[in-house]
Amino acid sequence: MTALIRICLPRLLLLTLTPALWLAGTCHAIAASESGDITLDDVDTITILPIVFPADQTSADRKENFESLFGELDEYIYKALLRKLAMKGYVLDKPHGWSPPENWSVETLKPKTPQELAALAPASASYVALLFVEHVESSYEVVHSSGNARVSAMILHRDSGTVVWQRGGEGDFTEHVLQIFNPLSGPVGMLFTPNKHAAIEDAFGKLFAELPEKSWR
Amino acid sequence: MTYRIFPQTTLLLLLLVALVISGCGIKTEGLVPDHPVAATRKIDRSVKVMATEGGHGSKFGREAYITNEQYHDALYRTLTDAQLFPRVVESGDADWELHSEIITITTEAGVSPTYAIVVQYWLVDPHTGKEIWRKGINSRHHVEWNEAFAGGTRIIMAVEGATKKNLTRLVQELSTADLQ
Repeated sequence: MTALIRICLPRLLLLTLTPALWLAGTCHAIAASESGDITLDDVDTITILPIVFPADQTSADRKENFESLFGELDEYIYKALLRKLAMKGYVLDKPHGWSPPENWSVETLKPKTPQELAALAPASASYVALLFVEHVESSYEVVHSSGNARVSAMILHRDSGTVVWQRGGEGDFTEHVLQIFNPLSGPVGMLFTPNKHAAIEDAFGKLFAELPEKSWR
Repeated sequence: MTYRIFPQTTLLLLLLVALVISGCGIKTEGLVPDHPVAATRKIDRSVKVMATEGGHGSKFGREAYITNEQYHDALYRTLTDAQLFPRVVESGDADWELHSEIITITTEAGVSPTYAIVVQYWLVDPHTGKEIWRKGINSRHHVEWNEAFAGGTRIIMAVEGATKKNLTRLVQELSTADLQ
């Protein structure tokens, strides 16, 4: 009898515990996904939405002197982030067949919940990045030109409205006429440099430098 | 004395230039995965590999790049070798069209280069014009400083390695995609 128990008990325990452990594991996985437990390593393609500006910034305010040389800001920032984030293992994309709703401004979008923001994003996107330029200004003096920007960014999971990553920061750009001694810059360069573009690029560059690199595979 | 040093220096410089130049050409053969990528299933459709977009030749002082023709050839050979589709064609009719666009090829400068290549792939049903599948794939490859003597060769190894990984991932992604 003792021998029979000794043989049967471990097998009985194994038979009952295996489904219990499997069920526990499944439930844990479901709970993790339902609670929005999405990490940056799950992020694959990030759709970059058009840059969000303050409502009082007109398109004329955003323009640069020689914009045709550098491209519009959205394209300029997209290209800069494309290279930076490619080295971190991410894929960037632009919205396909989608245009931003009216009132695409910092004042309208910032008070919204992540779920409300995700609902505005293109349905085909899996992850979207909202890029906010909260403040940007530039000045052109005779001997000095500068630009500075305060920005923030948020990466959202489109389907669940989960915030996967968000940061805020500042960037600036300055040039001085004494840079005449620098062969790559100088007074002529000052005329051509897109100060606002450069300040915003600097701000987003610093911000996304903090985005963790994806694991290699 | 000058006469004796000059030929040696010149020879050394010529040798270095030759080594650098020899490593400066990306060949299509180097972009194709070394072994056929094992497809986990067969998709019973024919596919036409469309012309690749976004590529260009390498420019002096910039990152090494791949031409559209090179990438298209590597893509065609990878898909043919993988036998994921029963028929892969470059021209004529097919059930689906596979489009590809090189979004970026980028690097961080250094003696041990790492290259990243991002390619967007999408399948279109030519009968309806509808896009049925889309996937952006990022692949990176790192080459150690001691893997090749010439810097140009290390750069090419990094670009080729990243491209092979990208094409391998494409076959894997297509194998697991919800495609009928």
